[in-house]
Amino acid sequence: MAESAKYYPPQPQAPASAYPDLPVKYGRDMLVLQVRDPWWIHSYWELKDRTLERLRRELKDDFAKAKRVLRVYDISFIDFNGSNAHHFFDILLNDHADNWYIDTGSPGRSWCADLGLLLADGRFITILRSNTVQTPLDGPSWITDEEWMIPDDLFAKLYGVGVGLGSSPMKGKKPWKVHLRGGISSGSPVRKK
Amino acid sequence: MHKGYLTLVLHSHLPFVRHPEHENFLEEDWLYEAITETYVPLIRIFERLLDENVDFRVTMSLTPTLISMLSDGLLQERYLRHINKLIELAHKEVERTRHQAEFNGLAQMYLERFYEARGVFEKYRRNLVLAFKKFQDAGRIEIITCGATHGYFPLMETTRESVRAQVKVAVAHYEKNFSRRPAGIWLPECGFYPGCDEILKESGIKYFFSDAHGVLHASPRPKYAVFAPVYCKSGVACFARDLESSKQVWSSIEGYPGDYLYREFYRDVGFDLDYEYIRPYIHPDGIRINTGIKYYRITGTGDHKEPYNPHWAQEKAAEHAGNFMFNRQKQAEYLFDCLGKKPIIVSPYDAELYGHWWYEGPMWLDFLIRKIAFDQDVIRLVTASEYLAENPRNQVVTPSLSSWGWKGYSEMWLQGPNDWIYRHLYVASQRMTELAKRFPLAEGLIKRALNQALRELLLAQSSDWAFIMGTGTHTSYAVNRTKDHLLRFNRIYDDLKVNNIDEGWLSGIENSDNIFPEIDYHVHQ
Repeated sequence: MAESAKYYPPQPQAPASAYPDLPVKYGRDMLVLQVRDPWWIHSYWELKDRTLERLRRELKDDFAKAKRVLRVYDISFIDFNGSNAHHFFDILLNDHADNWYIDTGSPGRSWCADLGLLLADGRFITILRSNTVQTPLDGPSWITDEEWMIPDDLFAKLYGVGVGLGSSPMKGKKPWKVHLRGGISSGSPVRKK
Repeated sequence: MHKGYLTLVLHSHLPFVRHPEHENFLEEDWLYEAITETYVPLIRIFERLLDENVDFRVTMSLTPTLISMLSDGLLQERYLRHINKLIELAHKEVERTRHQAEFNGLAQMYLERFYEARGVFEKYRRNLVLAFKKFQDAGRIEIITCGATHGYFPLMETTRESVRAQVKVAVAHYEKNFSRRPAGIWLPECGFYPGCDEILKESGIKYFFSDAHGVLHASPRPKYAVFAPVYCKSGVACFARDLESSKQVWSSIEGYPGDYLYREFYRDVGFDLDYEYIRPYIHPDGIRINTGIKYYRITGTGDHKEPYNPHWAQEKAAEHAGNFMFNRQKQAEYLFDCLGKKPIIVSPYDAELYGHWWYEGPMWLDFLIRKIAFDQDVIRLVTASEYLAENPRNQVVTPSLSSWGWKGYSEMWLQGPNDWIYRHLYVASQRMTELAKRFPLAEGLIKRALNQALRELLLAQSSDWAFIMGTGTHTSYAVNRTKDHLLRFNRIYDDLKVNNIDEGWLSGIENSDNIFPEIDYHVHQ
């Protein structure tokens, strides 16, 4: 789109105070995951004051000493029951965080997350569970279909041609690694000033 | 015998920008510029091709927001005002440059172009959609639809009802404008997530486009890479972009548009000329803007620019068209030998590249179409629909989540400056579904409120806002639009909850956010 590089001089802005704003909280419990790319997912959440209050009452002293944590589970190809993830990792949050970018480390997996409390004795209490997301692969699938088979080297050649790298054999035979590092994307006008 | 197919796609989109509350609104200029510099030139080229009986096929996506603006009475009137002002300026320029032969010729050229733009505009009763409909009805172009307000689907995966609404509203709007259902869709930003094809299928859509890696990284591996479409499990076909042909046109380094003989975009009289002289033709607040009158060619990489020479530029465009065709022929021949089958090369571009960013673009396209029609028989222009009719058997795969945006996925719309919007859009979407379910048989004022709520939600979902925020330039407009529409939505939601709708207020926003008059809130479930 052109908007990215239309040359507009600075516009007079409406003063911040004149502008009504969106609510900071909607008064609901929610934890949502969305996918940014093969490696990164993004999470945003909100907790009702009531929910936190309930936990504070139930856990008493333990609550103050507990750490707020986002526990991210790799649940690829399984029906997740809360304890059968392939593995998980914890992200320590401060009390004011309401969203986080998560580096999952491996493309092409399924993820879900719990917002919870990690108690001093190691117990983890789930407050909310998110939806499940699936990250895309960062290269061609290793799954080949018998009925539509293609030899690897020919596929690599076609990949290269398809992404504008030409048809001569590539060093290392992995044109997708070159392709994703620099591409032609929308919104890039012909020449930026 | 033909060795391959070539599918040219021009994606024409502008976000819905209409401000009746202001006499002059800067962002409305995007539409007027596009009409003068892209749509009219393309229409003129297609008209001549049709008149001369030259067979060709081009696919155009015309987004619902663009169609809405082109058919809007207020914006049509404002366009006339705009082009009349340009005609006035061009007259003055002809006068001002009367002793400068090089520039005077160009001023005359612009004067003629502006008269032509006004003429074409009036010829189609001020609604240029009718021109594109004419070309589609004549079988030369295939118009495909797009998300209703260009919402970015991969970041709406958590709210499928909204994806459904974007598609259904778009399809209904298309049907109303073109008297037929759309066969294909341009996913906004080519943003695909596995499963959204099912939503497309519900609305009878037969194909969509993705970026190259959407198919190359599909599971299982695509046998013909990007050179044949694939079917999703739902049966909807996916055509992937060929980056080789894209690069030749898009690339700022290797692409045609950077040629030194072509017109320089950044030397516009709106910025170059004396302030008092140009003042009536720039923004009323005194802000300098592009007028479209530009006198220089790119010349080189530095700041020194020579006067533009239209004849040299035209020759260069012809040369580049020939080069593009030659490369596609070589590509097709090579692939035909490799694959044992005729490849399809899919070349999609933003339409505004043609004419606005690359002044000679439409001319190049004209040369290309004619050369393909008359000078060879290796490649053939087709639409995706025609390809599928001739080649109905294709491999079934699940394409990868992907976009044609920066870095190939969703980062452009999900980063620091814009990630804050998603929690608000998520809640609003859930609320809209809740409303649609709570009021299955609404009438009167409540029905109006529900329909307007959906309009506000759709307008808030335009990916354009997040995109502009991501670029970091001119962001306050985009932020304000997002907030305005969400605040209006939330107010309708709250008012419906207590059954107290302020009709005066509702009428006001119905009037300003008047897109999709026949919208049906039920589609959001």
